[in-house]
Amino acid sequence: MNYRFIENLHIPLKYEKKEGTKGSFLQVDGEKGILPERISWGMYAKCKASNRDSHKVSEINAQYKKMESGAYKGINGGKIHTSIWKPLPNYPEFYGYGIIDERHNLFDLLIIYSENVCTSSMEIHIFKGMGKPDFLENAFSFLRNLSKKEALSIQGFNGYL
Amino acid sequence: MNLDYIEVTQFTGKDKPNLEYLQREAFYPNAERYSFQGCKKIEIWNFPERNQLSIKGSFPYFLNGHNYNSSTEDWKEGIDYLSSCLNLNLYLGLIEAFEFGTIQEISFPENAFLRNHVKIQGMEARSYQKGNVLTGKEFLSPSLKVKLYDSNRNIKQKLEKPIQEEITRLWGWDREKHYIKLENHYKKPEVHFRGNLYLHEILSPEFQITLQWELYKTYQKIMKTGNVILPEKKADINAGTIPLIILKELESVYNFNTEELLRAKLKEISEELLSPADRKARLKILRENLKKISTSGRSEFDISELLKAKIQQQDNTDTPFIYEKKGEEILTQISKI
Repeated sequence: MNYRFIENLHIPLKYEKKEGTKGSFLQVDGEKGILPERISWGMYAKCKASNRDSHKVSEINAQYKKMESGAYKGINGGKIHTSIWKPLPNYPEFYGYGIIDERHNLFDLLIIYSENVCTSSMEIHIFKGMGKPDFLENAFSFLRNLSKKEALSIQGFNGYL
Repeated sequence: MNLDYIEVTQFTGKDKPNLEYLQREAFYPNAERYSFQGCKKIEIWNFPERNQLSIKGSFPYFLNGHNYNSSTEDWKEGIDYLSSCLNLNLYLGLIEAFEFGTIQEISFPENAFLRNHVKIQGMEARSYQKGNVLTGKEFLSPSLKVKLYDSNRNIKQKLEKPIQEEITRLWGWDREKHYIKLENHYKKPEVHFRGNLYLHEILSPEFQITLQWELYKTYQKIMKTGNVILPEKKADINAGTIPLIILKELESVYNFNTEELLRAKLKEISEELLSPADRKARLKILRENLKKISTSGRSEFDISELLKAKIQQQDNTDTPFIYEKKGEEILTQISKI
């Protein structure tokens, strides 16, 4: 897929861990009104001993506040839930990826990038409609090429925005 | 040579299309108009009562942000993505209209090229100007519109700098050179091709080859001026010969004989104003001037050979219409930041 086309589908967001919490992250950069400003990060659902769940690395859970607007507020009563899976094998530099929200005919891809394995900050890169298997490789490749330009580093990320 | 604008209609049947990715633009009594943002917007019309969804717009602009060149591979990737978002197999969509054309580098100014492409027999001709400059021509029939326009002007004025740089890098566009776009706009493809056409059909290599030769044949039908060989001596290009040069150029287009036309005009003038001897003298000068002008069979503005060479070059490749990426990966072209 064309670089410029993917660029138009890409929404980069940055979250930092709220002090004194176990897994609560607050949005610090990127377009507002996409995901909730506060998200919960961590494995909450009970994992089965299935092959599928062995690829699961975390979850994002969040809910929009009453007055908060958001791209996904209209679905699932404003509740966000997505499992985060291990990245594609050829892209180990990324933490993982998830999809919002197959149950509602949306296939927005979320790729998680973090320089501290999501202990204090993370970048969530959303790609509209690219959550189906055919497009995963394109999105990861796009991000890798951005990262080559240091756009995924903290300073670069700010510059990128 | 590539596809550009397209109108494709998909009958949704019982399957509801997924409209979640679309931005609602307007509501009409029986239709809803949406847009889908890619590099440029593409229009999507939903007709719920008719179970129809129509997509209208330029796929190259939607996918690449320009229509300088786009391969069938580009198209397939874009259609796969759009099909996935809409939950519809758009390859089965019925083609309502489409454009197929090429941008061609020419060795003369665009407006001179356009001025010397005059008409197509049996089609209405229209000219487009910006100020005093001729920027485009169209030849229209009920099912086909042939478009010729100054594409260099469009590239310079409509495309952003990074895109201009990209088309220079990938396809060698040079802002100092001259480029025209030649395009067949099929208004009623079912009439032109005698049967319904579907999106998967027009993307097939065989059909693409048909479209290339159709474009070439259409171009050949355009009657051109510019077939006059100018006198070599400056003295022979005088105020008397210049109007005759123009008349000689138009002879083949409008099917008349310059000398006969001039003689008839002289005859119409009353003898009180011009005596037979005066007429004879004037006709003699006109004949002498006409002798200084000769014509060749082909217009100097005719680019048929360039188009033919382009088609043959594309036909010789294993995968027609997939442009040579010159070793570059599209995804490595980071122009943002």
